[in-house]
Formats: sequence, structure tokens, C-alpha cells
Amino acid sequence: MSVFDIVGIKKYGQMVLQAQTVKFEKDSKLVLAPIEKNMDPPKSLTIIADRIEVVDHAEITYDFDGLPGFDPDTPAPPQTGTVPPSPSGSSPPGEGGYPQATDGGDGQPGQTGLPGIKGFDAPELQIFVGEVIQAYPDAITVNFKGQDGGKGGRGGDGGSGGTGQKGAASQTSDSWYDGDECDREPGRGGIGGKGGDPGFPGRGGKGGNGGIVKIFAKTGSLPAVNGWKFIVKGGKGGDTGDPGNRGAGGPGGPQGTQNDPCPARPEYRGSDGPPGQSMDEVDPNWTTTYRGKDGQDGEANTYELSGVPS
Amino acid sequence: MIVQQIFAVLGNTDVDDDVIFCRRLEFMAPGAQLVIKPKKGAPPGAQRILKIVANVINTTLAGGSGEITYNLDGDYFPAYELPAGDSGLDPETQAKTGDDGTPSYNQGPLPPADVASPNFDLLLDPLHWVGNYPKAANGGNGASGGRGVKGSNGSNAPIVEIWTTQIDGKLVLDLRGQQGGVGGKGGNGQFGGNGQMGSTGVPGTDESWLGIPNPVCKQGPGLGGDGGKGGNAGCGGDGGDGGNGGTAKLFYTSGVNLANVMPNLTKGKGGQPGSPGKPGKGGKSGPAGVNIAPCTPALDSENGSDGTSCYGATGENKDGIARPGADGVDGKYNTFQVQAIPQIPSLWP
Repeated sequence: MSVFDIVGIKKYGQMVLQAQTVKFEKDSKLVLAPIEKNMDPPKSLTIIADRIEVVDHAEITYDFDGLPGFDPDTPAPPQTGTVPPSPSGSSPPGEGGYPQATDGGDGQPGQTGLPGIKGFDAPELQIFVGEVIQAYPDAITVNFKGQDGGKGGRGGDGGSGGTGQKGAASQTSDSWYDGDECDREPGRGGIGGKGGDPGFPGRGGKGGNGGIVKIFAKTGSLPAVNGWKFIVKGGKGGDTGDPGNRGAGGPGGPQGTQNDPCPARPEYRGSDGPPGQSMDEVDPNWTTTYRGKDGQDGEANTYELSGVPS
Repeated sequence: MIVQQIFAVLGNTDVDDDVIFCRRLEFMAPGAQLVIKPKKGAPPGAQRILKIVANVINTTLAGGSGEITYNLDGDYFPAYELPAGDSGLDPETQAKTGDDGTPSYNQGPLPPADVASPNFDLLLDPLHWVGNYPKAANGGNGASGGRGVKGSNGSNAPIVEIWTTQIDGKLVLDLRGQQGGVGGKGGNGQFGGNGQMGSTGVPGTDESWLGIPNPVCKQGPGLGGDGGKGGNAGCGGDGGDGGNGGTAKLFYTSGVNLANVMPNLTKGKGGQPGSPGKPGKGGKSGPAGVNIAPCTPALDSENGSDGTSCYGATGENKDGIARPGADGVDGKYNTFQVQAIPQIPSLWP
């Protein structure tokens, strides 16, 4: 008679567990997990047993990510990947032409942050069993809650606006009766470039779906399995990432050099470029817009059997 | 749970339950398809499983081939609402396109374009048309268009589990992941406001060193306000992620010809990013103030620059804002030999 004995924490990575008796020792845990390096996580488990014995209390759960803690209780890790800042706008050198010097270039908008890591979907579990022997009605807890998603990555910084070009210098000439005279006032400085908008935050990782559990038991054991505790809620979506910084507006170019007797024209200084929009201006609801979606709840059902597969 | 002696598949037979127990699963006519629909009462997007326990699966009446496939995305429209040849089945159709970005500003001509404030106009607001010295007010900068919404993710194909002792004819499992939806279109940027007109020049008189009255300029004409910059175009939404290919599990007894089962579990491709909106046009500069001799005219102000286009994934910047959806993951096919399949009291007392 084959007995599959579960003592302490036992990792299991196969699709089918078939034995005449599956025995859960006190406070034991059967954990679906890869049991070899680079092995794909086992997404389903079918237990086929004539009898299930539970000495005290036991748990069936899963651990696919290999990080400390079982997946239903630990969120996916936050996104640590980054995106580079966007380029700043161009700043034309030297003095510009008359009457208007060249404007500074606009900064480019920041790149969207990398999406958060998705939570693992809980696996599928089905059990075909003839007889259940247990000390407590809630002897087994199936914890197949979906894993919570990870936080999204930080958005990239918007580029700064470029500096406007300096205006053309004023020009003077000699006058025989009144000294020097102004032939041309100083030229206008170029307008500063617009700062780039902040990069959108990375969307939080989607929460994993809750597991699907189906227990098929012979008539006499149905009351026993109906007392088990099934946790099949979907995982929560990951938090939204942080947005990038908006780019600063470029300063306006100064007026052209002023030579007497031409008047100073401080108003000919180019206007400063506006900064990029704040994230709140771009999307007032960004903290929720970019939150990860919650996983779907799973379900657990029990069915009556007259014959257990073998 | 569906329990029948014979479960007949005729044409497209929909199934909204998750367990079928029967003695025979019969595909009755050519083209017969068992179509997995969302489970009754389940929320949209919930993982879908169909477990079939049948002593015999027979497709010979259907010309030797029957198919199990799915339609989970609510695409139930009759054929006349679909593109020609579109069956509505998820492996053959794309998930829904994302909504367009908001805000999206009207860019005219009818109705008139949305223009940022302040926007100076002689006809609409003559009291505020002329500004202060030395420079009048600039027009307002236009707001950016909103980003398009991400396309819907493609449906993950279901998990199909079959327990059987006999398969006659070919059984096709079309459990390809659905292609992700296209991202929504980005919103259009707002037009920049027009600049204010400069103040009028102020002439006066002075005396030359000979004591002769001499006309002079007390205050030159003011500079007009610059036009506001146009709002940036909203970027398109990201494409929806492709659905994962399904999982097929076959529990069979000896004698079943495994070559009769033909699973197609390919992943769905990610959807394309949405197209960007149009940038807003820059506002016009306000005219310089009226010049009165002997003042000299003021220089012209500058028109606002147009908003920038979205640097999308299809533009020069490949790392731009809108991204195509991620492809799904290929599904898996597992087989496991058993001695006997499960039995339930109503069919096998």
C-alpha cells in the first residue's frame, strides 16, 4: 500500500500526485513549487487518493517566485528597472538674427516607467478522494490566494527646455549735429523652450488570480471536505510607480547688447519657457489610473463521486 | 455540473458550466464546435476551466473532426455586426480597443477650436485688448491632450481537462491565447491663446540746446504679448497584453490513440499602441502698440509654437511613451495515463 507522507514543509512540482493514502502530519504544508532549477512552476495539481489522513491541521499552498515567504502572503517585488531621463531642448549659441533670435528647443517628455511585476496566479487544485480521516472539521486549509502585484517603476524625467538665443546687438552711427544716433535697437532674445512633461508612472503589477479548487469525494467523505477552509481571493494590484520630474522651462534669451544712445529694452528679453505640466495636471487621477488591476477571485467547489479514478 | 448520458455538439454548442460528466461526447455534424463561454455568475476575466469526463469522445459523425474552443470576451454579436468571416471566437478575434484619451480638445473649424486662457481678441473682448507697457500679456499655454487608455488584454485561453477511455476521430483543441486590443487614441492638444496688443506710444516735446522745442518720444509703443504655446498631443494608449495559450490535460486509459488529440496552445500577441492625438496650434502674437512719431515702432512679438507630437513607439524615439502589449505565454499540454476515470452516482451508481 503506497503512502505519500507529508512532514513539515514539502515542496511538490509534479502535475499529479497519486497514492493510495496521502497523509498530512501535524502542521505540515504541501507547497506547489518548482523542485529543480529553471523548472516552470507547476500550475496545477491533481491528487488522486483512496484515502486522505490529516493528523492535526495542514495547509496546501504554493511558492513560485522562490523568494522568502509563500506567494499568497508576499507581494511580487517592486519594479527596480529604470528609464533614462529625456533629452533637453537645444540652446542656440551666440547672437541671433534681427529682430528675433532663435527660440530654445522644447524638452522631450519623460518616458513611462516600467510596469510592475505581475503577481502569480494561484494554481489549480483538484482532489479525487474516497475516504477522509481527520481530527478537526477544518483540518486542511487550501491557501490559493492570488499573489499581490508589485509596485510599478518610476517614470523618466522630462527634459529641460533649452535657453533662448541672445538677441542681436543694437547698431549706432555718427550724426554731424547731435553726436551718435541709434540706427537699430537691440534685438529680441529667443523664447525659452518648454520643459518636458514628467514620465508617466509605471503601472502597478496585476494581482494574481485566485486559485480554482475542485474536490471530488465519495458520498461519505463529502461532509469532511466541505469543512475545509478555501482561500481563493484574487491578489491586489500593485501600487502605482512614482512619476518622473517635469522638466524646467528654459530661460529666455537676453536682449541684444545695448550700445548708447540706443535705449535699453529689457522687455526684449525672451520669455521664459513654461515648465512641463505636473503629473496632477496631466492626469488628476494618476494614483488610481496607474494602479495595477486586482486579480480575479477564484472558486472552490465540492462534488460527489461514486468511483475514484485510479 | 452537466450530467448527461450523451452530450451532443451541434453547430456551435455553448457551455457555461465547468464540469461535464457523460458517457458519450458526440460531435454530430461537420463544423461542430464546443464553445466555452464564461461560467454562469463568474466575473469577467475569471480563469476558466472545463473538465470533461466521458467514456467515449466521438467525432466521426462530424466528418472525423470536432473542435473545442472558447469565447470569453463578451463578443457575442451576431455575424452581421462583425467583419466578414469573423466568428467572434477569441482565438480568431482581437480584444477590444482602449478608449480614447481625455481630455481631447476640439481643434475646429466647427465647432470652434478650444483655446487656452487668456486669449485676447479685439472683437470678443475689446476692453482687455490693449495691454500695459512695456509688454502686454502673453496668451495662455494650451493643455496637453490625455493619454489613450490601454487596449483590453486578450483573454487567457481556458484550461481544458479531459478524462476518457476512447477517442474516435480527431479532436482539435483550439486554445490559442487571444490577441491584445489596440491602445486608445491620444487626445488632441489645446490651442494656445493669442497675445495681447501692446500699449500705444506716447509722444512729447523737449528743448534742444538752442532752446528750440523738439518733438521726442516719451514712451515707445509697447510690445505685444507672445502667443501661447499649443498643447502637446496626447500619446496613444499601450496595446493590450496578449492572452496566454490554454492548458490541455488528458487523463486516458490504455488504448486511447493520443495522436487523435490536436492541441493548439499558442500565445496571443500583444496589441499595437494607439495612435497619438494632434498637437494644438500655437496662439498668435499680439500686435505691437500703435506707434506715434517720433517714437519708433516696437518689434513684433512671437507666435506661440505648436505643441509637440507624442514621441510614440512608432516615431523616431522607439523607447517612447506608448508601448505595444506584451505577448502572452504559450500553453501546455500534459497527458497522464490512468486505470479508471472518475464516476458519479447519477451515471455510474
